[in-house]
Amino acid sequence: MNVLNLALNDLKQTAANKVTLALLLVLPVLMISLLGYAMKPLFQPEKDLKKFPVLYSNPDSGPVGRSLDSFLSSQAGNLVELVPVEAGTLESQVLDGKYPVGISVPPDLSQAVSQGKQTRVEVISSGRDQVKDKIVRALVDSFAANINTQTALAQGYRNYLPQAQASAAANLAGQNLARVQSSFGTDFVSVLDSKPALDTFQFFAATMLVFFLLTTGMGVGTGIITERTSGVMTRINACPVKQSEYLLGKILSNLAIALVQATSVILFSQYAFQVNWGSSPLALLLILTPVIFISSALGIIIASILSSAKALTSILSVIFWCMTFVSGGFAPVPILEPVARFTVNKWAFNSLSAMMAGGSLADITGNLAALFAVALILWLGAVMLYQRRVSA
Amino acid sequence: MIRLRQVLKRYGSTIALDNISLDVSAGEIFGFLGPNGAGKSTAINLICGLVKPDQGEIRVDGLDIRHNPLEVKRRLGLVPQEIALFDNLTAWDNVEFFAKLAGLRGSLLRERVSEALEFAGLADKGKGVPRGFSGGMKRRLNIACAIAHRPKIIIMDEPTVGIDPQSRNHILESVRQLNKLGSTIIYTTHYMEEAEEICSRIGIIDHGRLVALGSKEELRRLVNETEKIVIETVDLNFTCLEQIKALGWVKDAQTNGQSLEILTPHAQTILQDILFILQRNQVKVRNITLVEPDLESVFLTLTGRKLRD
Repeated sequence: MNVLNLALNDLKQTAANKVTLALLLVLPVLMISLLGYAMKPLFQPEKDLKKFPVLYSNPDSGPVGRSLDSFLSSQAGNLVELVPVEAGTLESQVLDGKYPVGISVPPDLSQAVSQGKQTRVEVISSGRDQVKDKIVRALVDSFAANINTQTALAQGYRNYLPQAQASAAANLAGQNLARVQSSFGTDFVSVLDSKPALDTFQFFAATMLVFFLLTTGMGVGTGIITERTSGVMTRINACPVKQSEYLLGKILSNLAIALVQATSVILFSQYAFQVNWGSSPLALLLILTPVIFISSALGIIIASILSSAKALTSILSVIFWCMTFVSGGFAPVPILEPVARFTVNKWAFNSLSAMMAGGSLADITGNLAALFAVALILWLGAVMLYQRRVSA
Repeated sequence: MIRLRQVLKRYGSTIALDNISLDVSAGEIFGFLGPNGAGKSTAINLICGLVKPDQGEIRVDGLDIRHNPLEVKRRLGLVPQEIALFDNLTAWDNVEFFAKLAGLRGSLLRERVSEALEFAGLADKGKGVPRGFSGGMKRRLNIACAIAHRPKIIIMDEPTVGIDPQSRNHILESVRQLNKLGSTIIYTTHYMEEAEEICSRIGIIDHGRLVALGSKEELRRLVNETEKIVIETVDLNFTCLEQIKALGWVKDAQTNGQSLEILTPHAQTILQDILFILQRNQVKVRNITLVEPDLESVFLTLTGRKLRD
């Protein structure tokens, strides 16, 4: 009962402060709108396509390999600029964001094609530029189709004399083509994100939701410091209230405030920008809950270390803004991608965007596990530091 | 009602409370008197279970605070030194919140909140928020928050700091009334007049040690060989003060406006020397009185320093 009393009291205080309440609800939707419109050009494909670099690894010195070299550098030379690279480093360079896409040819391509065996050329993509991905895929697909056709014809005519009936030859060629056309194909591999690209409002609705949910932890932290400095905490502790009840009251009120904020963001973005948040409210709740727990745990940790509410707000602001920036929450920053993968924002954003793209709970289990693990660790730290501060 | 035995509390290398033992009986108004930093608040924090003693035993209403902290807290009402209120909630909400934490519910809760506000003289201010209140009103609301659940023991930590005389009198009168209604009161202050006015027994605390304990009369008897000479003058100057302090038998001398207050065990012997110094410094004397030693004198005698040092 004490937990509920403490939580309701916090909510009463928030409701009593009309300005804070308004900011809590208006600021996220304002940021989504502003960033959504301002950053729109960044999310639109280039209208005039310029020649772009493509990582290229081709260890096959046979006729098919040489033919691919020639095809890409001559016929496709006005579209792509081949950057030769060792096969082993191609994927990591795409992953680092240096190049949008790469082509990896197997060393036995010619041999496999001549023997009619299965073989694949890989198109490795960062998933950031779908237009460039599609161009490279189309080029490789077109080359593969051409080679498959030639192979089918060669196999068909091998058993016939030149004077053979054209219709029979053509018929057989058709049958062979049907058989071999799948023998040499293209594999499309996206190393970062295989989901459909999000539009600007979907992107910022997801990143801003995570950012603003994280900032709710500041309310928890400043609440604790204010109650400690004003003597209210002493008075509460002199009542028959356990420390665990006090902390649970804080997390409960923060959870309620954050969920109201999240609901307002979701409904507004759905209505105003047709943002699709997926079909599973449970999945959304599972994504957002650990984020809220992480934010409140951070608030308690900093409040247990510092004595000034202003200092707490400054430090947490820096942490949350940096994390959001590094994770690409304000605008994608490819160069920071390796670091971004270890941020709370990225895990939450990846989960939300997977749900937006029609994914299911199974698609986000890894990110959810990371979020819940961080929430648990931070909460253990928060409880320990809080108890130490109170008993000091 | 409250029993402390050999209680020791350290903060790092500083001893905040040094082997204190005392008993407070049911129905008493017990005063902790001492200067700032003497250990009064530490003693209160220990009794309220806000900090744990490093050594010793504390029992409240027969319960050991180590083993029954929540049960002990149900019997207490704390009025902290700070105005510990939610500034943006109404007076009613403030009192109601703490009463709920103490376990009150339903119609009893509403009845007691209303009573507490009335007791504090804030019955018509229930919908007002503390940030719009005067200092005295905030202090009274601070008390109302501690008494709504009718605790057996009310602990007041310097409840009259920084308020006007009218509000101070209201609070002192409230303390007497609460005591008449059956609550045991522990009252800390560094204003010796307050302690003299309302406390039935007083513990004088300094540097974490309980230097004296007893009723006002018992404490005065500790220094009954000391007398206080009060000389009212017309044009007191400070050069004579140093000369008087230098006299033998003078324990302390200080000015209070145009009055000179001298503490000495041999008033008759040195009075002539004092008058001679005043005459030499051309200070005209209007009146001379010999007064009984007060708690300030007791504290000075026991600790060698003044309460407000």
